[in-house]
Amino acid sequence: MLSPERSLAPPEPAEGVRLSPWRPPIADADRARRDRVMRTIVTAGASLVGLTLAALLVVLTVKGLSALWPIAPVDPALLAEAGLTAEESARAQQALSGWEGLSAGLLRSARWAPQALDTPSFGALGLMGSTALTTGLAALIAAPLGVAVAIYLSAFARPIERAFARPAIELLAALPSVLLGLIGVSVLGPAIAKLFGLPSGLVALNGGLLLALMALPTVIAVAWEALNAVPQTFTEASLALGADRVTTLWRVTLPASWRGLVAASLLGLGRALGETMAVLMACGNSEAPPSSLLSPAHAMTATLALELPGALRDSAHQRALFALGLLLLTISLTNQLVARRLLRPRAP
Amino acid sequence: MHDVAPKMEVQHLSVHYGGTPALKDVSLGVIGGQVTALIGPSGCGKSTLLRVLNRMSELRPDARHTGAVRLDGEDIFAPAVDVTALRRRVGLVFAKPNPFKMSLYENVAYGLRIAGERARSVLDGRVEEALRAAALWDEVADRLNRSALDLTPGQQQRLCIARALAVGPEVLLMDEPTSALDPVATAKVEELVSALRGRYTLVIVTHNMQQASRLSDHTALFVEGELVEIGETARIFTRPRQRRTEDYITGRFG
Amino acid sequence: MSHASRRERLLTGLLGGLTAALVALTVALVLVILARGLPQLGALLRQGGLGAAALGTVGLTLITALVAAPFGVATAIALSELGPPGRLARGLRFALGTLAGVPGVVWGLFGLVVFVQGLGLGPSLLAAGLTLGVFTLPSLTLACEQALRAVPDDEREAALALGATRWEVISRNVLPRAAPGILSGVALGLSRAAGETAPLLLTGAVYSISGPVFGLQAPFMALPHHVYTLVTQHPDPTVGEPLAYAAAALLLLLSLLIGGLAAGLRARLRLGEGL
Repeated sequence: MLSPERSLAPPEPAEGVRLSPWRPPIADADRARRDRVMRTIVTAGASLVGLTLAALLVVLTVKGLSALWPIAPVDPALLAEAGLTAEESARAQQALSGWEGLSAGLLRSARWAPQALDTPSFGALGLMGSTALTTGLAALIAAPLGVAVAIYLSAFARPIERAFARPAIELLAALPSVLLGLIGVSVLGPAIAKLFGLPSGLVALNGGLLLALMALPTVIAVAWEALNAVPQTFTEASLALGADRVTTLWRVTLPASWRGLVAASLLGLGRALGETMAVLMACGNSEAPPSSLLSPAHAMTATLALELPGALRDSAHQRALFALGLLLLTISLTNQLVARRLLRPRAP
Repeated sequence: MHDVAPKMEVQHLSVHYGGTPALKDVSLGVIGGQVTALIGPSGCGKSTLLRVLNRMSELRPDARHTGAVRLDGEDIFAPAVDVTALRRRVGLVFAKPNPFKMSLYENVAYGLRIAGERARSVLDGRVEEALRAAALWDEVADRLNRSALDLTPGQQQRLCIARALAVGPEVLLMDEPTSALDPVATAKVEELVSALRGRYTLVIVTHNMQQASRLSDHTALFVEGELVEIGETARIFTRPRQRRTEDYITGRFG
Repeated sequence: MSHASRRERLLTGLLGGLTAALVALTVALVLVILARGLPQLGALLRQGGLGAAALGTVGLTLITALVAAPFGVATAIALSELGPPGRLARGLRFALGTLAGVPGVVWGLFGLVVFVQGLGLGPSLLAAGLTLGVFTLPSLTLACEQALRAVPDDEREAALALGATRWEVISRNVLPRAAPGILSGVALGLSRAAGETAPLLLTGAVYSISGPVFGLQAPFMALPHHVYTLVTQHPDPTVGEPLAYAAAALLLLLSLLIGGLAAGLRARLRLGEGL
């Protein structure tokens, strides 16, 4: 080991290393204070956001569950003012204040007829059936198609192809749903009517196809990420062993990423689930639950959008709609949570 | 031997990161105006000690310590101490050069600007002084407005040193300052360390024993969080008193 | 490079074909709307309504921006820069991620109860803007947080070692570096909000209004709603449909403008950070 001799006397400072004296203009305490203030402001903002998110859940739950409470009868004076006879008043009372066990009927009946004066019914099963039909079709199309595209972009595409595809998919994702509804009414509708010999093309099939288009970007994006997350060493090892790319895909990549692919499908489904305008405009909005893909359908989201503006405040109808909204929220959140669970990183 | 009080003093310092001990009952003094090297195998706690000296260890939320660390006799962890002021007096240079994504000028002027300095003449003056002190001025004087990321790693590291010097510290901590640099750049930084000696108190963590013996006046060996031995560099490397010290410098472990 | 097997070539061809078809379909959709809509713009402007609807959408987007951007960025800063990851922070991030998927119509319900009825704003531009603001908040916040986290820790450490306070690190180092990503996140959120119709249906959008066009506390018009109404409620579809396309084309151009801005910023970010 080297052992240079060193002088033990205090060393001479070298030239040019000394900086001239300087005092900070702003006191450190002031800087600390400004730091505290800004941090408080930022934290306050974040807290407000947190409260708002909590408020969403609370408000919707409370309003949704309000269907469980009995409704006070409407002031007869109001009805008299509206010029109704005694008999009409009685029927209006019944329609407006409903029907106990509102929420129980929500999940037990398929008949949604809130405006029927003698026997209003708030069965949501038919609406759920419509949603299931359209969303199910959308998922059935978008999941395999989306995964297929994601596989291509992740494993086989050339960089220039990716460069074109990525913005196109983002573009598709950015299309407002009302515009797709427009296409559904004016382009798809007539086409379906002609193809199947129907009087009108505004049927479940129409909405389902549109929803598939809207779900595709989500499926592709999540699936692409899941496929890319498979370590390159896996695929390289398989190829090195002589397997071709198809086998590698089938035996290595897909099994390794299946969770992410399922999550992608679920998230696409969730997207389709929550869409309103496309199904509102393209599915026909009948009262009866759909019997097939070629009959009109009335999705939950469309019902909410259509009927809420007209529902009388605090009437049975409005309460039923809020209960429907809570139902929709619950389904949507559950779907989200399951998908996120699948996407959680696992120790290899 | 010196009779002056140490510039910085560590008294019975123990540091834990979420239950895992990083330093165990360490006591030592850092002599002002001299270069102290901290050596030892990976994970021995030398970097931890360095970071405690300017309270950068606090950045980890699970860090806990007992014992005292003093700068000019005052406890740096006292509640009244402003961390900002401490870090102005005790600067830190990292192993991987980390200039800001700004111009060279703005990098060096950063410490001054955040303290509220706006006078152009003062900033210009100090930027030049700091770059001269870091032996970088001649190379970059004509392109102060270029991005700092355009420099070579060796230049970037000297820029980081200049940036630290600009606020006028008394102590300069360096965490393996040449580990990411090629031999030519390393030599330049080592030259710089020798030049800074005397005006500044330097504490350098290094895993390179030759570097330690070349540059430092005092050397401290750490193993598994404990201070094994500290003394004048010349003596440590020729007549170590501890068995483990001798083992380490002859390469039997680490 | 390849003696690619026949299977491979078949698969590649099939998948590539699907991808190409999807891209082509997307482009076709955009072209159809523009082709059918742009020539009609004149007619719709003459008929009146389009100007008011466009103004309404612009006004809505502005309110949305004023609500969502400051709070979203603040929350993103709080999550990314301040404090240790406590349970509260993790909970908030989790809630943001989950609620980002809540359907627009459900946010419309919330807006109806809280803004229209609860705060007594009535069906109005303000209520709708606030509703769109909270609708945009979760996804915008997450996008901004991602942008902040992309700034390497090296930069923060170096700044702190020089004695910078946390806020100084945020304002002088992190925010400037994350700015393109943040702007992109905001633009993306706004572009989505501009195209939403369902929340508007529940908070006060109407087809036509008399009186001042830009009242904050009154029912208002908006482009997406205009498209919807023209399609579903115009008495004469041969007139209504082309007009709907005109409004749709305008909405599409607006969305593309903001969305394109976002994409451009993201591309610049990818290049700028030397990826």
